[in-house]
Amino acid sequence: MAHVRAAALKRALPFLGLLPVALYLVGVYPVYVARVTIGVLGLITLATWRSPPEFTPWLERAARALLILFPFVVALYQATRVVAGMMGVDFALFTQASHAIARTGAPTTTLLFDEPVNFLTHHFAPVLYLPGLVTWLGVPAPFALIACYALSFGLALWALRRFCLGAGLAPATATLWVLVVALSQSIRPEILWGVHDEIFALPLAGWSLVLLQERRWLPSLALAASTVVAKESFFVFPLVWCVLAWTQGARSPRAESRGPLGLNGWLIAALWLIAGGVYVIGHSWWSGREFDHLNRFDFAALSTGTEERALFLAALLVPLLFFPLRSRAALAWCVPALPFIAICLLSSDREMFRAAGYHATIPAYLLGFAGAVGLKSTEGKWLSSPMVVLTLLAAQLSWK
Amino acid sequence: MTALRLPLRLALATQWYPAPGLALLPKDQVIAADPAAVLSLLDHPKVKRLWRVPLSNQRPSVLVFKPDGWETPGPEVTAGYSPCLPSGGWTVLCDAP
Repeated sequence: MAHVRAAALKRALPFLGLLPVALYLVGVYPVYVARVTIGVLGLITLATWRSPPEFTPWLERAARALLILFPFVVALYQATRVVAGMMGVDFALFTQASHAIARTGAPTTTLLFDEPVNFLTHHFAPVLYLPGLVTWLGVPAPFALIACYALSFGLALWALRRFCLGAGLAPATATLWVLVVALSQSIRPEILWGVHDEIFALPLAGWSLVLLQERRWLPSLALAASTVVAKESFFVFPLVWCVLAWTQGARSPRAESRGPLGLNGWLIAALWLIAGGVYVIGHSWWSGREFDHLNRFDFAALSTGTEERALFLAALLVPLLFFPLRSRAALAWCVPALPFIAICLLSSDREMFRAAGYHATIPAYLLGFAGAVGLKSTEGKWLSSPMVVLTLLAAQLSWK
Repeated sequence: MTALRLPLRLALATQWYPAPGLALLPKDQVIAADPAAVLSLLDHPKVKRLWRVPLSNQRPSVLVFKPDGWETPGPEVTAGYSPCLPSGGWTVLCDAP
């Protein structure tokens, strides 16, 4: 009888690791519970060294339920903050642009300068036509924006989970890893506390990587090219896509003459770089005003804030337990994140390399893909055991 | 130890979008508003962000903000303005003539 009870307990113990996530999603402050959970999981791991707790299919189902719930919680939480009058100016700006699209067809905003301007001359984010369309259909602009935002986030999580499964992770480990990434300090605050164009790019970039993993080159390239509808920094994404595709076996332009690297990939990469250059560097030429964020780049600024920049890098990798760097295969999948990390590190604006800021959201998400590959490549070792991933999940919520 | 964030936010949600009183604001004057007010003044052609008020060349005719909201203006901004218009719970200040 005692033996049966012990077996049941071993099956039930891993569920403890999901408790902080469940509390977080229902709105309960999870930090102290998460810290206790880390300790308990650590003790369990040590106590069951030779015979680790079992990960039943129910654990995966419970984790998946939390994952599915996450975007809905995001939508509910943000809508509540709108109603309570607690949204910041960035949300007002994106909402105003979406509302203006529905009314006039152009994303006009009055919040940036003394005169009304087209938002696309400030940030290249044509994706706002999606909430604009929903607003045009009759949904109030703030809630249309939130709905599209939550949808983007949900699709991004789905992409990462599919990638994890494609990388060979067990379903439970894959779902837990997606939660680890989604709850990291570089994504969690951004998701709940504001709306920025970064999130709209994530599902496009994520599904592009999924299709690339599945060697469906052309649709993958098409999605990689489409990421630019969300943010001007993604003008560089087709280039990193080509480099990544090359590392994944699409090596020879001649051998892959029907594939994207036959010509299409590099051609699109070049065209996108030119377009990005015209948009960003040539901004004053075509709009009469310098690109607002261009003055944030300063190579000379690299000589200052070295410690903060190093901490930024560490803050991206430590929550993922350095899994993106743990194998050569994983390092290759770090390529998509590199330009976004570089953009942050080359800035003179300290807000750009603050790990808990929204600028870190894109590299944190993209590093999650490399981390999944790293996790798989260390499979069988203690560090990548499911209990460690579960503990890592609790660790994400163990600080504010 | 714990803060029930979501129920608290719901409890704070006493004013539903949009605030009906703001429909009375004049359309031909510059309105400086905090983000919460902007969401209720989306159709207003002259709405601006509140913190830009001191930076703007044009002194706004009307200030609209939510009491204890995101960007409550300080006395240096509200000096010279006085309460005006019914607003359904919002603070609406007009430039003194």
